Amino acid sequence: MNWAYALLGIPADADATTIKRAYARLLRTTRPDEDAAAFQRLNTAYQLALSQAGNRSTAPAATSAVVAPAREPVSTSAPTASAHPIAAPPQPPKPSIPAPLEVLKPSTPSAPAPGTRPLETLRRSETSKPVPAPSPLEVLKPSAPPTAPAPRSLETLRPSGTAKPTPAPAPLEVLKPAAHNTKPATRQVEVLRPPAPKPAPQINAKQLAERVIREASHAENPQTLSHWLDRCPELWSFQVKQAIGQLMLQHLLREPQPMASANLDVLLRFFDLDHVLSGVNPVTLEQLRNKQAMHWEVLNDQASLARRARIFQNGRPHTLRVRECINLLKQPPRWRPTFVTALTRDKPLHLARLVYTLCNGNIEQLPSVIDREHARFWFRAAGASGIHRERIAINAIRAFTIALACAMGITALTTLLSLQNGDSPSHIWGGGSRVFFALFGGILLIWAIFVGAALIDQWQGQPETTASRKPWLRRLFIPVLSALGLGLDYLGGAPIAASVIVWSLMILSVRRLTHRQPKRPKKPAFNFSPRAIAYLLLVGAVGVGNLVQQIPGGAFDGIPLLGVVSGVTLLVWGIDMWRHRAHLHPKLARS
Amino acid sequence: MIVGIDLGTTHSLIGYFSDDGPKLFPNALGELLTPSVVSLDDDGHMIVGEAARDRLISHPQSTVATFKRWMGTSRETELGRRMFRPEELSALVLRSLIADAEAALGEKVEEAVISVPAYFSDAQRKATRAAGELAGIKVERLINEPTAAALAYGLEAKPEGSRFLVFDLGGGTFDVSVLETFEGVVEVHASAGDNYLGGEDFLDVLENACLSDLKLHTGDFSPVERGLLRRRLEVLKRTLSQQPEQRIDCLVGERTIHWEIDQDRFLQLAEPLMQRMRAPLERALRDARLQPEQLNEIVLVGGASRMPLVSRLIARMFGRLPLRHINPDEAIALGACVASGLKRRNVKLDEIILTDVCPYTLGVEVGQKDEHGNLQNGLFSPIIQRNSVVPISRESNYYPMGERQKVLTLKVYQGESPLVAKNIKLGQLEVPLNPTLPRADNGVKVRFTYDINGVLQVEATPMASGTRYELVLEQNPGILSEAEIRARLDSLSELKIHPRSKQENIAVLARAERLFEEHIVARDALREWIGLFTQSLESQDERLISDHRTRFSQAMDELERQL
Repeated sequence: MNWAYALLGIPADADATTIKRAYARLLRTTRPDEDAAAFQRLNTAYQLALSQAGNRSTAPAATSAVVAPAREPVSTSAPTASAHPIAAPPQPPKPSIPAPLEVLKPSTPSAPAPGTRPLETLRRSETSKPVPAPSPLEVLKPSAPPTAPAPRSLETLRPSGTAKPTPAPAPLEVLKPAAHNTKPATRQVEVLRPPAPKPAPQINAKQLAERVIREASHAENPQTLSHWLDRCPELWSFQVKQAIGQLMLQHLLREPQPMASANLDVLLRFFDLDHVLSGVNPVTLEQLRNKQAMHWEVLNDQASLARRARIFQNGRPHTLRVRECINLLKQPPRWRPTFVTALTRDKPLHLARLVYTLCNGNIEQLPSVIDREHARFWFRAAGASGIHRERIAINAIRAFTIALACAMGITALTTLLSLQNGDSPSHIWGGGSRVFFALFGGILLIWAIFVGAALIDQWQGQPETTASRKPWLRRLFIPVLSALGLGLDYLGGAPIAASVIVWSLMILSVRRLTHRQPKRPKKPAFNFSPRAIAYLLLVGAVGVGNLVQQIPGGAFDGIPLLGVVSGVTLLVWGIDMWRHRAHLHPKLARS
Repeated sequence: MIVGIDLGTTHSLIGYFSDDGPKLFPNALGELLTPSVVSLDDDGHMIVGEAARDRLISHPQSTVATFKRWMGTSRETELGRRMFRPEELSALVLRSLIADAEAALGEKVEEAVISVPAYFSDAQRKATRAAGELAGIKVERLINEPTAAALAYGLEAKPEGSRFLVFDLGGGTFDVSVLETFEGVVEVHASAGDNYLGGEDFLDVLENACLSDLKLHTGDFSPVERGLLRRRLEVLKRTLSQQPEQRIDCLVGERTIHWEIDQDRFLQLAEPLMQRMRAPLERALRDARLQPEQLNEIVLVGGASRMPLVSRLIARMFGRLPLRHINPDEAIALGACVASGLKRRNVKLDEIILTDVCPYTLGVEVGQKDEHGNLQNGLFSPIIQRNSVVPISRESNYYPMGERQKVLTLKVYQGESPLVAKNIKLGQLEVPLNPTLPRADNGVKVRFTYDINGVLQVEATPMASGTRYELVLEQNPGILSEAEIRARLDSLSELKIHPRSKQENIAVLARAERLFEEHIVARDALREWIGLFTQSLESQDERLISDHRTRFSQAMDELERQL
């Protein structure tokens, strides 16, 4: 910083007038048309000193919400491209372009690592600079009515930038987190204006921004929209328009609205947000445009809706049968189409992906023509995370159909064979029905066991904080069942059932432990996850146990294998409970 | 001698910085404004100025106007047997202006400062320079029009400093600049504009409305009739500001048409054009980081800014009335004269220093990976941001997209869109890389240097090797090469031009021919007058001609006043 003041030959606390005077004096010897390099250095110093002086004079007056972040000092070799900060008003720096370029990006050593997620970079830049308007007025006043220009009413809009800024009128801050569960809320700063000396009609900027968005999503064509915007008397004022533009964009990025891309383009052009220095990432804008256009097309125009569309999810491209899926989702769920769809291999996936693309997982944001219940059903049915009723239902339909098909096929085959053998009809009928029911029931049973095991596994693997109706049952499930298994073995004399229960409980306990352990960042060099090692150990233990039992001579006959297994199970369960002891009783949390 | 020239879409002016301040030269007809119109007469002489503008009505086929709008393109216009590029047409206007200046000064004009719209692109600036060369002068400097207006205005501005906005609506271009003056420094904060918005567009709007109201097509008019209609509409446009309602009569084929328009209708028709003026105004203010209240004044420049709807626009946007106490037609030319004085280091101007800005963003094309890891190509990465103070030199580092990449292609663009497809490509530079190095070590330092005349220089230095590569902006069809300029200079000097002394006679004849086309009732009288005047021209008696010319002009004045 000092070099700038040294170059200008002024003290470091000089005000704007002194800086300008020094600059003017030095320009006589350093003319821009004679010594370009020296002039550039002088100009950089001048801009820097001016912005410093501007920041200094506004810092005490501005509140935390309005304060402009201090500009980073620049070195002489690579001065930042700065425009012309004029001394007086609280000017935030020129919206810096978020650093989204991973490759081919001008890299500065001090800059944070270039983010690969444009949405986040955008948000970061927003938090550092709530609203680029000099003071983020939520309540603004329109400029003078078109016919009778009245300069006075504009002067009251905000403390204007005289060289000596009046203290800002203590803006009342209302930090309001956005009402969305998944994303980190973009903060919106509301500053209430002090009562104006002359009462005049006031505009609620937020309402106006929402009105603009509503108009844009309902306008039939871009011409109507731009005509409406041109006619909107509030937007004639320079300050109001600037603030509304920012509010509108934030709103859209938070909650995309159905809108034709031509209309979005009109909005961006009108508010001058689509130029390269606007600070908005073009990729983010492009994504917003696609999303809104998709919403809009789903709402309005079936003919223009693509039959198939390529979307990207988890970095992989997927081709979706968009029109077909939308048509299905427009109706409330009914038995027959649901049944048929469930049987197809990838249509449930398509539906879920489409719903995700349309609303980012938030069903309430879906276009209104789509049946929410129906969309939610397929979204959960094909969702890979968690076991929902819908997913079980779809799988049940599939299992039922497969079992039916298998049983019928094999029954038909055996019946044919019996017919060739010349068995009696009653015998054939009896044998056939036995085979059919055995197969059908068997397959369904296997499926039910599988689903049951998965359900129990999920139930037991839930974190302790998950609300549940009977928390004690979830905690004590393993020891109680272990006791039951051992009891069966000793008292009931059902060794097979007992060993099934005991062995599966052991697997369950290990899974419960590994699922519920706090997530640690993975070490890249270590390829095996702890869970894999636990399973390997388990398999090893089972093998060793069996070997031990096979050893002749009865050396280990006295050791009850199931007892040892149960012991291991309880040990693992105990470790898990110890880890989560803080949830059991508040007193335990302290130790 | 160095002069200042305002080469406008509809009018051009020339002047110099005398010891008593800027001074404009009158043309052969004694007027300061020379219409930027070129015409070819029947015996192959080139005619420039008022006479050519009159011939726009009587000989529309062999006359051309508003060619400033085509500067920087390769569009050619046919006049007689020869094709003319816009540079050549501008050069003809420049030659006529220089002849006026040389006649007034009595010495040879060698250098000039020419004003261009601030938002003129690189190609358009180069074309203007080429026009100067074709006219046989050295273009010392191109000055932005609003800056020039500010120089003219800034001389009389308050010494303690002020910030103001120059709103320049000319015949074909629109420019906005935000400036500040203090301690003799004229500092441009920001410029913005629209190169295809001006008074001519308002005329087009009127013409379209008239045609659609009367259910006519442009094909229904003969070129002469169309020229007549436009001229009537031009008069209507000018008078509409004083009178609330206007009416025109015009001839189409055999029948006469009537059309009426009032101010409200015109405002409604001009609404889209007014909207187009809003965006540059807002952008200039935002880039200057000023609020409307921080501006001390709003200065209107350019002939079209006389329209009352411009004041209305300013009033609606800024909540105040604009200021206009310099002649909007002459301000830019006067400023160009001041700039020429600055260039010559006139003692009187030694106190004034001008800093200007680069009105558009310059950068290169880059790719970017989005959150899903998909590559997005065709994004614009700015190196020199718009409205940076010139001269300026900026450096950025760029890296190849892939490992083992052999060449980095730098595509240089100018414009404001975040996507290069919507920007103007200036050139391309191939920088060889060392493919054996890892990607992170294979960066290339790219330096953009933009000088005071708007010339861009691009240098690229791979960090690994340190070899410097320099971009020679490739030829695009809109720019003439050195060799082409020389060739065209020779062919232009072969064109026949009437001697300056005869220009007055030609202007009178051209005017008579225009009136002949315009007014059916006076045709007989005019035919007679033209015959008499041609006879007196043939007699070559200077006194007779001059006497006759005066009376003829008076008669035509009388005729125009009557109708």
